[in-house]
Amino acid sequence: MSIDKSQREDLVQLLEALCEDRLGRDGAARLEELVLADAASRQFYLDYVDLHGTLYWDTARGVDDSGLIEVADEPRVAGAGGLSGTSSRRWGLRVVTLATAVLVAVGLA
Amino acid sequence: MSELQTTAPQAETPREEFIKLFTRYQRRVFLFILSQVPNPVEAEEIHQEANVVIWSKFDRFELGTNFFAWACQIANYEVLKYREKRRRDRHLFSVDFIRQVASDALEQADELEERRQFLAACLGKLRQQDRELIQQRYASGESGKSVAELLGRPINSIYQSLSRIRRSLLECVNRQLSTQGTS
Repeated sequence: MSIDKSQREDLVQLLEALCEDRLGRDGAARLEELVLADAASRQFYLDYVDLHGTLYWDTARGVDDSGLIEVADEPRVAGAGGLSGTSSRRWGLRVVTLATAVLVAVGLA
Repeated sequence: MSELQTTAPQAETPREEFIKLFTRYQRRVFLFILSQVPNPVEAEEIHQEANVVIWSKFDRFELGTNFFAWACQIANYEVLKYREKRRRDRHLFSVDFIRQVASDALEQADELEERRQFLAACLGKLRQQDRELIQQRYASGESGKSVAELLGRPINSIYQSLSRIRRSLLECVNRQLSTQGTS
């Protein structure tokens, strides 16, 4: 199960646009068409988006789920260390999620 | 008789086991959602909603069954609900696409998790400047655009660099997988 070089290149271009939030309506339609067309393209899509998501999740946290693997082993550069608006929101959501979990856990006790 | 007595470890309560499963699968459930809604901020919002539902259904989960599959059913429902609530917004993908991708993501869950383990090693193999760029792009929670502004580099140059690094990480993970398969 594999995809040819040209289709792979098309997918990479579209997925890169997706990762950087610059995929327009036409691009999305083309990506959907390619991904739904065959299982190999879906596999490629999943691998790529999963890589993007893992970088997002792990790099922000600095650890994986086990808490053992340090992904970010270099200090942040000046100016990038503070929480930006987006990452403040991201951490805010995680705090809310954890707080919700604690509250529900107390309710379950 | 010795005053020191050994005590058998206490068995976990169902609630404790549930909490462990819930915690262990946080990242996997988030990534499952992201496969269907590739905007990480939206995926986090849906993840939060799904977490609330998962917790509220604690007493309906049967310990010993597949927690991840159960949580993903809830998460997929929350993805569709999120779309419905925002039906006036522009959605990138159709419901058919979401259902198909969700089904494949669940089917390939173990393989995807294996790839994530290799990714950590592949990150360690990057050149330092590439690793720093990835950290800036993701750790700052911003975008290629904001990193370009921060570094004073043209945005297309940053997009090209990020693309090259993500491709090389993907290839590295593929190589690690095939090496493992032949060893």
